[in-house]
Order: sequence, then structure tokens, then C-alpha cells
Amino acid sequence: MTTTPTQTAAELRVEDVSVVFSGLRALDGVSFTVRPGTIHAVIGPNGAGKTTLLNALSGIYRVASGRIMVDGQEVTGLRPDRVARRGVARTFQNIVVSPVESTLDNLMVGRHRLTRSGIAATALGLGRGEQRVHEARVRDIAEFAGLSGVLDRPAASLAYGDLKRLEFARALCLEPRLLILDEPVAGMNTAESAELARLVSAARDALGLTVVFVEHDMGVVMSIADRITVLDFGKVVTDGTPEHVRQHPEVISAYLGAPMESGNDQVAERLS
Amino acid sequence: MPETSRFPMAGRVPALCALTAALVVLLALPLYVSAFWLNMGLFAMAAAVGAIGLTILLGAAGQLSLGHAFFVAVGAYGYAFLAGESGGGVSGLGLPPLLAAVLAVLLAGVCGLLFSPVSSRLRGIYLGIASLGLVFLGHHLLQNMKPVTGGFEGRTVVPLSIGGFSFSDQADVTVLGVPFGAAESQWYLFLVVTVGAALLGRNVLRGRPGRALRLMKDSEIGASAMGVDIRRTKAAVFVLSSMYAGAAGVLTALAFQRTVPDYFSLHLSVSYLVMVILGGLGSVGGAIAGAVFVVTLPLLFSRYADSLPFVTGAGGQGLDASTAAQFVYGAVVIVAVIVQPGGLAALAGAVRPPRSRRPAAAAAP
Repeated sequence: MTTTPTQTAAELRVEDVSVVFSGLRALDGVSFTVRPGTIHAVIGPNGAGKTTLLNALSGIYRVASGRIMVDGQEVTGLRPDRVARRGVARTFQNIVVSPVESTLDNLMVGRHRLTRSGIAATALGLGRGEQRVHEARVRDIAEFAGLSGVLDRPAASLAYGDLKRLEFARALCLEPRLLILDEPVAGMNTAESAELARLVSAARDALGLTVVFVEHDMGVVMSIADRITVLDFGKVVTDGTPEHVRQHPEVISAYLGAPMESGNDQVAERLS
Repeated sequence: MPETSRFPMAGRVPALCALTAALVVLLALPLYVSAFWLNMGLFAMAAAVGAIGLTILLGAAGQLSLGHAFFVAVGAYGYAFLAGESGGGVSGLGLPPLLAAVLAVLLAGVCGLLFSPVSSRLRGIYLGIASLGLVFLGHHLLQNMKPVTGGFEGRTVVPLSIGGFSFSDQADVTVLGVPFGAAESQWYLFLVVTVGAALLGRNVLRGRPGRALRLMKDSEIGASAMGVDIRRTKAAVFVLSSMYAGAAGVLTALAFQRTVPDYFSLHLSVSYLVMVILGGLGSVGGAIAGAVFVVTLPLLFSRYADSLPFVTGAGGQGLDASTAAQFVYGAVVIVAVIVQPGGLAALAGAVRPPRSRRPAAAAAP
């Protein structure tokens, strides 16, 4: 893959964003800034609102209040496809691919925003030149992600780790300025996780990306994140460098739980 | 062609040979077989064009339409009205038939576009229910817009003519001693349209729109995150499918040389559904195979009624041929969905070398 960044990484500003599901405040006044070209992790216990935040960023969930700015341009309230057209790509926690399609065709969908040929032009065979140009680039990205050997295989036949990398590679195929990853290494073994973490770093360096990712694997988070935002109950607990976050008392209590209350002991006694 | 770089020619030689052989047989057929067989082929090809449209809509995009018969009717009556002359209680614009045929297809597309507020918002089976209403609306209009449709009795259809050559029995042409009447000359016309429709459909499915449609079928959110405008895409694929149905309507009208309202019923919509499910959803070749099977079976049954058990000709004691055919393809659909959900296309894929195999679409939504 070419090592010269094809574009400039985007800055992401999340300003006082709230998302409400019929009365439940899943996100409550969340603010943080991601500087261009950095890798920014969002962590927090289950139900903290991490995936909700990513869905709000990519336009899947409607924001109740607040603003989301990509390079100073507001994307709040835009539909997902419009957000994607601004150069924001993402992966999903539960893998979303066409199972019967080949790996190559799954990756080519990632070129949708960069290609033009519509139904009429494609029917008349006019999209082929465009397709050839983009296919060459897609093959390069596949090689970078270690998918060259499985390009012709249907996605359904791929191993889990390959599927996760397929989603990651497909997001890169959008040539994003901002890349959003939802639990990119969930379910992977240690070696696979380390490999994907390395890929994320390498992609940032080579392509000029800003990366925002949600991840439970603290090893991966601490190794590649430049900055970390910690969420709990839809609010920002703290935001800072990995060292700062590691020592923050509220983070420790959110992750390890508050000291045992006597109530729990009583429940335990009744159960025994 | 770029496919040559993706699929080495070596692997395609047997397929190309088979295709060439099939084409030669199809081209030579009018010289050897009677009008009965040729007419059967005309009906099958007309249906094949409509089935390709439906397999793109349902197989690739996962959007169910039970209104396909409505758009077939728009094409058929559109052509009959635009090309027909006024007189005998019906009016017509008397346009040149070729122009009328093209306009009829566009008219079906416009009707599909008018339905886009619905087709762009609903997905899958919900669209199927919503489009069901079109069939009843269409049937009512066909019965009651007498000046345009001829009402209950329908109206006759002007044969197509291009540059003075009429695709009808009037053309006084003899090829190698075989007189070329309506069936013979239309055979070639229909063949050109069907092959063209198949190539266009294949390009759409293999290209950028096809990939977007298939991801949209599996996940609308996933597709929109790739930059696919979901509403616009759904509306566009519905329009495309309507235009295919319109073309099928024009061909159907030409083949029957008459249009009657009762033909364009829910039964026709369901027949198209059977064709694409039997053929394997999302496969152009499958849609054609399914259309041939569904159209020819009742005709074959009635021709060979005397030699088939339980089946009799009109007025006999046993099952009539079309009912018997429905039993058979009803049973075949059930078996196919259970045993081979990929349909005829997947069956063909199983005997093809795996390198060039295109995975058949998954089961119905």
C-alpha cells in the first residue's frame, strides 16, 4: 500500500452530545475532542454508552442535543450515507458483511462513495473502467490487511479473525479521514489482537487517519491509544492519556466495582 | 472485457462453448420446429424478461413485490394503446410500434417511480404487502378504462414493425423454404430482447449497484455506512424492476396479439415469484430457467394430455393441464426451497468448477 497519506486526517469534536431512547439518557452531555492523526479509545463498562456514541457519530442514532463536528463541519443529524460521504468510515461490533459475496466484492462495496456509475451506466457496461481502477486499489488494501489469499472466497467461509480484518479493510476502502472501529479485536486471540492493533497503527501512519475506537481489551487500548475517553452511565468519567486514565480513581472503581457493600454479603448468605 | 482478467479464459472455455452451442440451436430453431413450439418459446422469453427484473429486486435487493403483474399490464396495455389505432370502441395514438414499445417500457418505469414513496420506505415482505394493492388497482382500471383498455374483452395488439418489416403473418418472407410468419420472425425479436435484458441485468448485478443492493439486503445500516443512500437505492431498483416488467408486458402483448385484463391478476405476480425462487434468487440465468419451466409446463401438459396419467384435455374427467401443472410446480417449489434453496442456479453451480462459481443468493427473506 502506498505510504504517502492521500488526504489529511480529520479532527473530531463531540460537543455536549446527548442521545435519548424513550426517556433513557444513553448519552448525557458527552464532550471530547480527537486531534487529527491520533488514535483515540473510548472505554467503559457494559452499558456505558460506547456503541451508542459510535452510532451517534456515524449518523445511525439521532442526537437529542449537542453537536458533532468533523473538521469544523457539523455532521449532527446527517444520515449515515451522508456522514460516510464526508469521509467517516466504520466497522461494526457484530460483523456486517454479505456472506455469499466474495471477500473482494465485500471490499469493493467500500468504494461505493468514491465511485459514480449508477444503474443505467452499469447496465450498459460503462462502469468497468472505473471498477478496474478501484479494484487495483482494493487489492492493495487487502494485501495490507493480510486478506490477499482469501479474495475469491465467499465471506461466509472466512475464519472469524479474517472477517474482523475484512470489516477493517472494507472501512479503509472508503479512504476515510476518520475511522471508527467498534470492538475491532473482540473475540480474537492474543496474537490476532496484537496483529490487528499493529494494523490500526500502521494504517494511521500510512494513510493519514484519525481513529476512534471502542475496545474492552485493555492491552490493545493501552498499546495503541494516544488518548482515552472513559464513559460510564452515558457520561464522560475522564479523558486523557493512557497514564492519566490508568491512575484515575473513578476509572478504577468503574472497572473493578466499588468496594463490596454489606448488602451483597447478605444476598450471598441467603443464596447459600 | 475486464472479466477476462478476473477469470482466466482457460476456465471459461467450456462455458463459452456451451453458450455458443445454445445460441446456434436457438437461432436455427425456427427453421425446424412448428409454430406451437415457437409460440411456447415466445411466452417463455416474455416471462424471462419479467423474471430477470424480479430477481434483481427480490434476489439482490431483498425487496418483495407482489405488484409485478401491474407493471407487466402497464407495459402490455401501454404498447397496445400507444401503437394502436382508434376504432372499434377503443382509442389509440397510432404511434410507430417501435417507439410505442420503448415508451411503454418507460411508462412502466414512471409508474414504478410514482410508487417510490412506498417502495423507498418499506423493506422486504412489507413492500410485498403494500405492492399487492397495485394488482387490484390495476385490474379495476383495466376493467373500467374502456377507451384505453377495451374493458373486459381487452383489445387487439398491433404487431411490431421496424423499418417497414412487420413481425406478423403479413410479412411475405421465406427463409430456406420456411415461410416466416409471426411466430418465426418474433422468435428472433424476442431472442434479441431477452439476451439484451439478461446482459443488462447481469452487468447491474456484477457491478457497483449489485454489490450495494446485496449488502443492503443483509444490512441496511451496513450499506448506508458505506455511503449507500438506502431510500434512493430502493426506489431505483424498484423502477428498474418495473421497467423489466414493462418490457415483459410489451412482449406478452405481442406474443398473444391481444391483451385481456384477467391475465394480469395476482396469479401472474405469484407465477413470477415462483420463477425467480425456482431459478435461484439473484441469478439472471436462474430467472430465465425458472421462467421457461413455469411457462412451458402447462403447455406441455395440455399438448401431451392424452399420454399423461390424471391429465385430460378440455372437458375430460381428469385434471386439466394448467391445474396439473400448478400441482407440479407447487410441489417443485416446496422441494426446491427445502433441498436446494439456491434454486436451479445453485444446481448449475454445483457442477461448475469452483473457481468461477458465483455463489447463489441465500434463501428468501
